[in-house]
Amino acid sequence: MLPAALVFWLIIGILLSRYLYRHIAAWQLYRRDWNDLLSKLQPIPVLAVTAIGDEYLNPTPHQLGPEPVDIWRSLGGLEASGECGAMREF
Amino acid sequence: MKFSIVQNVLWAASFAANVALLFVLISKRRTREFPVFTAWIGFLSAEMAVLFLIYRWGSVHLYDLIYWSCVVVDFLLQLGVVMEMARIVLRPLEPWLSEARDRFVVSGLLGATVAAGAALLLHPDAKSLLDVWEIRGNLFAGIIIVELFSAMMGAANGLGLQWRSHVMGLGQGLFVWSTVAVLVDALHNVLGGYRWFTAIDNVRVTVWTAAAIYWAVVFWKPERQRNPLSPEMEHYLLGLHRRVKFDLARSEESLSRLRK
Repeated sequence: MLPAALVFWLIIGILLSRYLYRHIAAWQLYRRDWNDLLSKLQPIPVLAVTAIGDEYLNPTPHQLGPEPVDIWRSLGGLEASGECGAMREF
Repeated sequence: MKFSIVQNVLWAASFAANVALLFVLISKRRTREFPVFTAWIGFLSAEMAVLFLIYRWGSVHLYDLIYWSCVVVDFLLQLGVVMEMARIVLRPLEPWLSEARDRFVVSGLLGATVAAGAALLLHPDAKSLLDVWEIRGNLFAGIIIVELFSAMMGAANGLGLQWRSHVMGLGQGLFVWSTVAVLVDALHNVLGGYRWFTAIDNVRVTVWTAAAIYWAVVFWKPERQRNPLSPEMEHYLLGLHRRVKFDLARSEESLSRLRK
């Protein structure tokens, strides 16, 4: 009986904790305004854009082009998407 | 079937709160955006009035019949309220956001499995088999509502969808009430139908009354308008826009020169 009761309260605890976490995240998102959102804008490195654009505009024979993941990484996209993931659960 | 003075007072208070909320929803014309929520509150008000009349002048059999019929309708309307909130929050434009809908459906199905598992895990101590299944059924229904609402919030948060003030107010009240309801049903599951059953159940009614009063205040007020951009941010954005336009024009110029 006791282990079953423990498992029971564990399930209820996990459910309600996740529920609370999501509710707080939704509430924080609700409190955000345009200024908060736009203050997250970050400049994109010009050199990286130039390098990617150059490879696209001036392809060399048998060239191995950069993979999408490399492009995103050089533009700061992967880090930014990671931040977005964190921001999503505000 | 006898109810104590405390139960009668709580019953009357929650009935008054429901009627006041229904009046606010209709008089402020919130029914257009929240038809299911209005139907739920209207149903609860009517149910309480009818059950009270049967309690005073009707038979126990009739009371049981109406009570059990209403439990099913109440649960369906609660599901409808969560779906209504999902429609408002996850459908900011006309079509549903497919990613949000998929997450919502998958989490909902998982939630139903967890709810069934939790409700069947313990065998509550009760007078009859019907009472046992009532306690289990209440917990199952409570967890389903919590899980669906949680899934909806998770989907909305994942996509960064922002809630408007009325639906946020509805969500806050529903969050507090459903959390207390699940805790009360979980306690009933563990303690059974004898120990502190009425005292614990009174907590649920008290929280419901508080939630109904809160909703009446939320829906009485107009929808909150979003603050406009601050002058500094507007200046920064205009400058950024000019610079991007200039850079783009310069790039196009260089490109056309290269092509020549």
